[in-house]
Amino acid sequence: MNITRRLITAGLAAVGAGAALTVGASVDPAPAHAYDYYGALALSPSTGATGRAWDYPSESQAANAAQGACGYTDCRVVTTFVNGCGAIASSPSYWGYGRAPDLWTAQSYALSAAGGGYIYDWVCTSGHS
Amino acid sequence: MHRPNRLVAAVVALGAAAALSLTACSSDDSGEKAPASSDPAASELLTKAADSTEALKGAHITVTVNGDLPGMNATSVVADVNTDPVSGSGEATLNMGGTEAKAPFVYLDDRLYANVQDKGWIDYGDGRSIYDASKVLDPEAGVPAILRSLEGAQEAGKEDVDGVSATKVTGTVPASKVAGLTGATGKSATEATEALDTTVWVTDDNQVAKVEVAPAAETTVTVTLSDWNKTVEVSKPDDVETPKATPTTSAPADQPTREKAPN
Repeated sequence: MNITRRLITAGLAAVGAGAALTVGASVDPAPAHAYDYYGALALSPSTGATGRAWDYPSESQAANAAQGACGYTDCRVVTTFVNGCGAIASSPSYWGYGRAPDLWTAQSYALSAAGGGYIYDWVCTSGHS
Repeated sequence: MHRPNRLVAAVVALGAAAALSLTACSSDDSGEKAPASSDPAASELLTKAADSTEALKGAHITVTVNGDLPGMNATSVVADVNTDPVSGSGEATLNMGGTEAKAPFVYLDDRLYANVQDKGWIDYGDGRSIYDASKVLDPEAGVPAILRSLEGAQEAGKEDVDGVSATKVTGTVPASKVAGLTGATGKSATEATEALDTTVWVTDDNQVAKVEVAPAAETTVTVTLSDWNKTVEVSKPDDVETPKATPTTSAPADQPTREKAPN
Protein backbone atom coordinates (compact mmCIF):
# COMPACT_ATOMS: atom_id res chain seq x y z
CA MET A 1 0.00 0.00 0.00
CA ASN A 2 1.48 3.38 -0.89
CA ILE A 3 1.59 6.27 1.51
CA THR A 4 -1.31 8.11 -0.07
CA ARG A 5 -3.47 5.05 0.24
CA ARG A 6 -2.40 4.52 3.82
CA LEU A 7 -3.12 8.10 4.72
CA ILE A 8 -6.58 7.86 3.28
CA THR A 9 -7.18 4.62 5.10
CA ALA A 10 -5.96 6.06 8.33
CA GLY A 11 -8.15 9.07 7.90
CA LEU A 12 -11.14 6.88 7.29
CA ALA A 13 -10.38 4.89 10.34
CA ALA A 14 -10.10 7.94 12.44
CA VAL A 15 -13.22 9.83 11.67
CA GLY A 16 -15.49 7.75 9.56
CA ALA A 17 -15.81 7.39 5.86
CA GLY A 18 -16.76 10.82 4.71
CA ALA A 19 -14.69 12.75 7.16
CA ALA A 20 -11.86 10.30 6.79
CA LEU A 21 -11.38 11.10 3.19
CA THR A 22 -11.16 14.75 4.07
CA VAL A 23 -8.60 14.12 6.76
CA GLY A 24 -6.54 11.89 4.53
CA ALA A 25 -6.54 14.47 1.80
CA SER A 26 -5.42 17.21 4.14
CA VAL A 27 -2.35 15.39 5.43
CA ASP A 28 0.85 16.00 3.55
CA PRO A 29 2.46 12.80 2.30
CA ALA A 30 5.41 11.60 4.33
CA PRO A 31 8.86 12.31 2.89
CA ALA A 32 10.15 9.64 0.55
CA HIS A 33 12.78 8.55 3.06
CA ALA A 34 10.30 8.04 5.88
CA TYR A 35 8.95 4.54 6.28
CA ASP A 36 7.76 4.77 9.85
CA TYR A 37 4.05 4.25 10.21
CA TYR A 38 2.38 5.28 13.42
CA GLY A 39 -0.73 3.92 15.04
CA ALA A 40 -2.76 4.68 18.14
CA LEU A 41 -5.67 3.41 20.19
CA ALA A 42 -8.03 5.65 22.13
CA LEU A 43 -10.48 4.53 24.81
CA SER A 44 -13.55 6.03 26.44
CA PRO A 45 -13.75 4.30 29.84
CA SER A 46 -17.29 5.51 30.47
CA THR A 47 -18.78 4.22 27.20
CA GLY A 48 -16.33 1.50 26.24
CA ALA A 49 -15.91 3.10 22.83
CA THR A 50 -12.54 2.86 21.14
CA GLY A 51 -10.85 4.67 18.30
CA ARG A 52 -8.20 3.15 16.06
CA ALA A 53 -5.70 4.81 13.79
CA TRP A 54 -2.92 3.29 11.79
CA ASP A 55 -0.39 4.15 9.09
CA TYR A 56 -0.06 7.82 9.94
CA PRO A 57 3.23 9.60 9.27
CA SER A 58 3.57 10.89 12.84
CA GLU A 59 2.63 9.90 16.35
CA SER A 60 0.66 13.08 16.92
CA GLN A 61 -1.40 12.57 13.80
CA ALA A 62 -2.16 8.98 14.75
CA ALA A 63 -3.12 10.05 18.26
CA ASN A 64 -5.39 12.80 16.98
CA ALA A 65 -7.03 10.40 14.53
CA ALA A 66 -7.67 7.77 17.20
CA GLN A 67 -9.05 10.40 19.54
CA GLY A 68 -11.36 11.66 16.82
CA ALA A 69 -12.56 8.19 15.91
CA CYS A 70 -13.42 7.53 19.54
CA GLY A 71 -15.32 10.79 19.76
CA TYR A 72 -16.56 10.92 23.34
CA THR A 73 -15.52 13.59 25.83
CA ASP A 74 -13.60 11.16 28.03
CA CYS A 75 -11.78 9.48 25.14
CA ARG A 76 -8.03 9.48 25.58
CA VAL A 77 -5.16 7.93 23.71
CA VAL A 78 -3.95 4.95 25.74
CA THR A 79 -1.18 3.67 23.50
CA THR A 80 0.75 4.77 20.46
CA PHE A 81 3.18 2.69 18.47
CA VAL A 82 5.35 2.80 15.38
CA ASN A 83 5.72 -0.03 12.88
CA GLY A 84 3.83 -2.52 15.01
CA CYS A 85 0.65 -3.25 16.88
CA GLY A 86 -1.16 -1.90 19.90
CA ALA A 87 -3.63 -3.71 22.14
CA ILE A 88 -6.02 -2.97 24.98
CA ALA A 89 -6.85 -5.67 27.53
CA SER A 90 -9.62 -5.60 30.09
CA SER A 91 -9.78 -7.35 33.43
CA PRO A 92 -12.12 -6.82 36.37
CA SER A 93 -9.54 -4.55 37.99
CA TYR A 94 -7.56 -2.90 35.20
CA TRP A 95 -7.37 -1.71 31.66
CA GLY A 96 -4.01 -2.90 30.28
CA TYR A 97 -2.17 -1.50 27.29
CA GLY A 98 0.53 -3.06 25.15
CA ARG A 99 2.51 -2.28 22.04
CA ALA A 100 5.02 -4.41 20.17
CA PRO A 101 6.25 -5.20 16.66
CA ASP A 102 3.66 -8.01 16.38
CA LEU A 103 0.09 -8.53 17.57
CA TRP A 104 0.67 -11.58 19.75
CA THR A 105 3.34 -9.80 21.77
CA ALA A 106 1.31 -6.58 22.03
CA GLN A 107 -1.63 -8.62 23.30
CA SER A 108 0.62 -10.41 25.78
CA TYR A 109 1.91 -7.12 27.16
CA ALA A 110 -1.64 -5.75 27.46
CA LEU A 111 -2.89 -8.85 29.26
CA SER A 112 0.11 -8.78 31.55
CA ALA A 113 -0.54 -5.15 32.43
CA ALA A 114 -4.21 -5.85 33.10
CA GLY A 115 -3.39 -8.85 35.23
CA GLY A 116 -5.26 -11.20 32.91
CA GLY A 117 -8.70 -10.79 31.42
CA TYR A 118 -9.33 -10.53 27.70
CA ILE A 119 -8.29 -8.54 24.65
CA TYR A 120 -10.63 -5.61 24.20
CA ASP A 121 -9.28 -4.08 20.99
CA TRP A 122 -6.17 -3.93 18.82
CA VAL A 123 -4.79 -2.54 15.59
CA CYS A 124 -1.59 -2.93 13.57
CA THR A 125 0.24 -0.74 11.07
CA SER A 126 0.97 -2.01 7.59
CA GLY A 127 3.48 -4.80 7.41
CA HIS A 128 2.97 -5.92 11.00
CA SER A 129 0.71 -8.64 12.32
CA MET B 1 -34.58 -11.04 22.88
CA HIS B 2 -32.04 -13.74 23.06
CA ARG B 3 -28.63 -13.01 21.66
CA PRO B 4 -28.95 -15.41 18.69
CA ASN B 5 -32.16 -13.81 17.67
CA ARG B 6 -30.53 -10.46 17.94
CA LEU B 7 -27.83 -11.59 15.55
CA VAL B 8 -30.25 -12.74 12.93
CA ALA B 9 -32.28 -9.64 13.36
CA ALA B 10 -29.26 -7.49 12.98
CA VAL B 11 -28.31 -9.10 9.72
CA VAL B 12 -31.79 -8.70 8.37
CA ALA B 13 -31.97 -5.16 9.51
CA LEU B 14 -28.67 -4.35 7.89
CA GLY B 15 -29.81 -5.60 4.56
CA ALA B 16 -33.08 -3.82 4.76
CA ALA B 17 -31.53 -0.60 5.79
CA ALA B 18 -28.99 -0.70 3.04
CA ALA B 19 -31.62 -1.37 0.45
CA LEU B 20 -33.77 1.52 1.49
CA SER B 21 -30.94 3.95 1.48
CA LEU B 22 -30.01 3.16 -2.06
CA THR B 23 -33.14 4.57 -3.57
CA ALA B 24 -35.27 6.33 -1.06
CA CYS B 25 -34.11 9.90 -0.98
CA SER B 26 -35.77 12.93 -2.45
CA SER B 27 -35.10 16.62 -2.11
CA ASP B 28 -37.19 18.99 -0.04
CA ASP B 29 -37.52 22.73 -0.51
CA SER B 30 -34.27 23.37 1.34
CA GLY B 31 -32.41 21.18 -1.06
CA GLU B 32 -31.59 18.66 1.62
CA LYS B 33 -32.31 15.02 1.07
CA ALA B 34 -35.43 13.79 2.77
CA PRO B 35 -36.50 10.16 2.89
CA ALA B 36 -39.04 9.29 0.25
CA SER B 37 -42.21 7.66 1.45
CA SER B 38 -42.15 3.90 1.64
CA ASP B 39 -44.19 1.67 -0.58
CA PRO B 40 -46.74 -0.08 1.69
CA ALA B 41 -46.07 -3.47 0.17
CA ALA B 42 -42.35 -3.06 0.67
CA SER B 43 -42.81 -1.93 4.26
CA GLU B 44 -45.05 -4.90 5.00
CA LEU B 45 -42.49 -7.26 3.49
CA LEU B 46 -39.73 -5.76 5.62
CA THR B 47 -41.80 -6.11 8.75
CA LYS B 48 -42.49 -9.76 8.00
CA ALA B 49 -38.82 -10.33 7.27
CA ALA B 50 -37.77 -8.64 10.49
CA ASP B 51 -40.23 -10.77 12.44
CA SER B 52 -38.92 -13.90 10.73
CA THR B 53 -35.33 -12.98 11.48
CA GLU B 54 -36.03 -12.27 15.13
CA ALA B 55 -37.67 -15.69 15.39
CA LEU B 56 -34.76 -17.61 13.88
CA LYS B 57 -33.18 -20.31 16.00
CA GLY B 58 -30.01 -20.12 13.95
CA ALA B 59 -28.58 -19.48 10.51
CA HIS B 60 -25.50 -19.54 8.34
CA ILE B 61 -24.20 -16.04 7.92
CA THR B 62 -21.57 -14.33 5.83
CA VAL B 63 -20.33 -10.78 6.13
CA THR B 64 -18.22 -9.23 3.39
CA VAL B 65 -16.66 -5.78 3.34
CA ASN B 66 -15.76 -4.25 0.01
CA GLY B 67 -13.68 -1.12 0.51
CA ASP B 68 -12.19 0.46 3.63
CA LEU B 69 -14.13 0.31 6.86
CA PRO B 70 -11.94 1.49 9.76
CA GLY B 71 -14.24 0.19 12.45
CA MET B 72 -13.76 -3.39 11.33
CA ASN B 73 -10.60 -5.44 11.48
CA ALA B 74 -12.44 -8.19 9.61
CA THR B 75 -12.88 -8.03 5.86
CA SER B 76 -15.06 -11.12 5.74
CA VAL B 77 -16.77 -13.49 8.15
CA VAL B 78 -18.35 -16.88 7.62
CA ALA B 79 -20.19 -18.42 10.55
CA ASP B 80 -23.02 -20.57 11.83
CA VAL B 81 -24.88 -18.91 14.67
CA ASN B 82 -27.50 -19.97 17.18
CA THR B 83 -29.86 -17.58 18.89
CA ASP B 84 -31.04 -19.33 22.04
CA PRO B 85 -28.67 -19.02 23.67
CA VAL B 86 -26.52 -16.94 21.39
CA SER B 87 -23.51 -18.89 20.23
CA GLY B 88 -21.70 -19.66 17.04
CA SER B 89 -18.52 -20.60 15.29
CA GLY B 90 -16.82 -19.62 12.09
CA GLU B 91 -13.84 -17.88 10.58
CA ALA B 92 -12.98 -14.24 10.10
CA THR B 93 -10.53 -12.89 7.58
CA LEU B 94 -8.70 -9.98 9.18
CA ASN B 95 -6.87 -7.05 7.71
CA MET B 96 -3.60 -7.36 9.60
CA GLY B 97 -1.37 -4.49 8.71
CA GLY B 98 -2.25 -4.62 5.05
CA THR B 99 -2.21 -8.39 4.74
CA GLU B 100 -4.99 -10.87 5.30
CA ALA B 101 -4.97 -13.29 8.20
CA LYS B 102 -7.38 -16.06 9.07
CA ALA B 103 -8.96 -16.17 12.49
CA PRO B 104 -11.19 -19.14 13.35
CA PHE B 105 -13.50 -18.16 16.19
CA VAL B 106 -16.02 -19.52 18.65
CA TYR B 107 -18.69 -17.41 20.32
CA LEU B 108 -20.11 -18.85 23.51
CA ASP B 109 -21.43 -17.49 26.82
CA ASP B 110 -20.94 -13.87 25.71
CA ARG B 111 -17.26 -14.45 24.90
CA LEU B 112 -15.51 -14.69 21.58
CA TYR B 113 -12.41 -16.87 21.36
CA ALA B 114 -10.24 -16.57 18.27
CA ASN B 115 -7.04 -18.09 16.99
CA VAL B 116 -5.45 -15.35 14.91
CA GLN B 117 -2.84 -16.60 12.46
CA ASP B 118 -2.82 -19.95 14.23
CA LYS B 119 -0.80 -18.49 17.10
CA GLY B 120 -3.16 -19.63 19.81
CA TRP B 121 -6.70 -19.15 21.09
CA ILE B 122 -7.29 -15.95 23.05
CA ASP B 123 -10.37 -14.54 24.76
CA TYR B 124 -11.51 -11.44 22.85
CA GLY B 125 -14.38 -10.50 25.13
CA ASP B 126 -17.38 -9.39 23.13
CA GLY B 127 -15.38 -9.98 19.97
CA ARG B 128 -15.44 -6.41 18.68
CA SER B 129 -11.82 -6.55 17.51
CA ILE B 130 -12.43 -9.74 15.50
CA TYR B 131 -16.12 -9.55 14.64
CA ASP B 132 -19.04 -9.54 17.03
CA ALA B 133 -21.07 -12.18 15.24
CA SER B 134 -23.65 -12.06 18.00
CA LYS B 135 -24.86 -8.72 16.66
CA VAL B 136 -25.93 -9.98 13.25
CA LEU B 137 -29.23 -11.44 14.39
CA ASP B 138 -29.69 -9.06 17.30
CA PRO B 139 -33.12 -7.42 17.11
CA GLU B 140 -31.80 -4.10 18.36
CA ALA B 141 -28.36 -3.97 16.78
CA GLY B 142 -28.46 -6.27 13.80
CA VAL B 143 -30.41 -7.11 10.71
CA PRO B 144 -33.89 -6.78 12.28
CA ALA B 145 -33.10 -3.27 13.45
CA ILE B 146 -31.97 -2.32 9.99
CA LEU B 147 -35.12 -3.71 8.41
CA ARG B 148 -37.37 -1.90 10.85
CA SER B 149 -35.59 1.42 10.39
CA LEU B 150 -35.52 1.36 6.59
CA GLU B 151 -37.01 4.51 5.14
CA GLY B 152 -38.31 5.05 1.64
CA ALA B 153 -38.68 1.33 1.07
CA GLN B 154 -39.37 0.45 -2.54
CA GLU B 155 -39.58 -2.95 -4.18
CA ALA B 156 -37.11 -3.28 -7.01
CA GLY B 157 -37.99 -6.58 -8.64
CA LYS B 158 -37.00 -10.14 -7.90
CA GLU B 159 -33.56 -11.74 -8.01
CA ASP B 160 -32.03 -15.08 -7.14
CA VAL B 161 -29.75 -15.03 -4.10
CA ASP B 162 -27.66 -18.18 -4.01
CA GLY B 163 -30.38 -19.93 -5.98
CA VAL B 164 -33.25 -18.69 -3.84
CA SER B 165 -35.86 -16.36 -5.31
CA ALA B 166 -36.02 -13.09 -3.38
CA THR B 167 -37.72 -9.72 -3.58
CA LYS B 168 -35.32 -6.81 -3.70
CA VAL B 169 -36.16 -3.79 -1.54
CA THR B 170 -34.20 -0.56 -1.54
CA GLY B 171 -34.12 2.40 0.81
CA THR B 172 -32.01 4.17 3.41
CA VAL B 173 -31.14 3.49 7.03
CA PRO B 174 -29.72 5.83 9.70
CA ALA B 175 -26.00 5.17 10.04
CA SER B 176 -26.31 4.46 13.75
CA LYS B 177 -28.42 1.41 12.95
CA VAL B 178 -25.52 -0.12 11.05
CA ALA B 179 -22.92 0.27 13.80
CA GLY B 180 -23.78 -3.11 15.26
CA LEU B 181 -22.88 -4.85 12.06
CA THR B 182 -19.75 -2.86 11.33
CA GLY B 183 -18.42 -3.03 14.87
CA ALA B 184 -17.84 0.71 15.08
CA THR B 185 -18.02 2.01 18.64
CA GLY B 186 -16.94 5.63 18.20
CA LYS B 187 -19.43 8.43 18.68
CA SER B 188 -19.40 9.32 14.99
CA ALA B 189 -20.71 5.84 14.20
CA THR B 190 -23.07 5.10 17.06
CA GLU B 191 -24.79 8.47 17.00
CA ALA B 192 -24.68 9.17 13.27
CA THR B 193 -27.97 9.99 11.57
CA GLU B 194 -26.73 10.07 7.99
CA ALA B 195 -28.93 8.05 5.66
CA LEU B 196 -27.08 5.08 4.22
CA ASP B 197 -28.10 3.41 1.00
CA THR B 198 -29.39 -0.05 1.83
CA THR B 199 -30.75 -2.97 -0.16
CA VAL B 200 -32.47 -6.03 1.23
CA TRP B 201 -33.41 -9.27 -0.45
CA VAL B 202 -36.32 -11.17 1.13
CA THR B 203 -37.23 -14.70 0.11
CA ASP B 204 -40.73 -15.84 -0.75
CA ASP B 205 -40.83 -17.31 2.78
CA ASN B 206 -40.15 -13.87 4.25
CA GLN B 207 -36.61 -14.76 5.27
CA VAL B 208 -33.81 -12.31 4.72
CA ALA B 209 -31.35 -13.67 2.17
CA LYS B 210 -29.07 -10.68 1.84
CA VAL B 211 -28.54 -7.16 3.12
CA GLU B 212 -26.19 -4.67 1.56
CA VAL B 213 -25.33 -1.35 3.19
CA ALA B 214 -23.03 1.42 2.03
CA PRO B 215 -21.57 2.86 5.27
CA ALA B 216 -18.95 4.91 3.47
CA ALA B 217 -18.09 6.16 0.03
CA GLU B 218 -17.12 3.28 -2.22
CA THR B 219 -17.56 0.86 0.67
CA THR B 220 -20.26 -1.75 1.11
CA VAL B 221 -20.99 -4.29 3.80
CA THR B 222 -22.91 -7.31 2.60
CA VAL B 223 -24.54 -9.79 4.93
CA THR B 224 -26.09 -13.01 3.71
CA LEU B 225 -28.29 -15.45 5.58
CA SER B 226 -29.01 -19.04 4.64
CA ASP B 227 -29.81 -22.32 6.34
CA TRP B 228 -32.50 -20.45 8.24
CA ASN B 229 -33.27 -22.05 11.62
CA LYS B 230 -30.33 -24.41 11.36
CA THR B 231 -28.56 -24.79 14.70
CA VAL B 232 -25.04 -26.02 15.39
CA GLU B 233 -23.14 -27.49 18.31
CA VAL B 234 -20.67 -25.00 19.78
CA SER B 235 -18.00 -25.72 22.38
CA LYS B 236 -15.25 -23.63 23.91
CA PRO B 237 -11.76 -24.34 22.54
CA ASP B 238 -9.77 -26.54 24.92
CA ASP B 239 -6.57 -24.54 24.76
CA VAL B 240 -7.49 -20.88 25.35
CA GLU B 241 -4.37 -18.99 26.45
CA THR B 242 -3.73 -15.83 28.41
CA PRO B 243 -0.22 -14.86 27.31
CA LYS B 244 1.41 -12.45 29.74
CA ALA B 245 4.84 -11.61 28.45
CA THR B 246 6.30 -8.53 30.13
CA PRO B 247 7.74 -5.70 28.03
CA THR B 248 11.49 -5.17 28.33
CA THR B 249 11.29 -1.41 27.91
CA SER B 250 9.34 1.15 29.86
CA ALA B 251 6.32 2.88 28.43
CA PRO B 252 6.36 6.67 28.04
CA ALA B 253 5.40 8.56 31.18
CA ASP B 254 2.24 9.84 29.53
CA GLN B 255 1.15 6.34 28.57
CA PRO B 256 0.84 4.11 31.62
CA THR B 257 0.52 0.42 30.84
CA ARG B 258 -2.44 -0.02 33.13
CA GLU B 259 -5.23 1.99 34.70
CA LYS B 260 -7.73 1.09 37.34
CA ALA B 261 -10.97 -0.05 35.79
CA PRO B 262 -14.20 1.34 37.22
CA ASN B 263 -16.12 -1.08 39.36
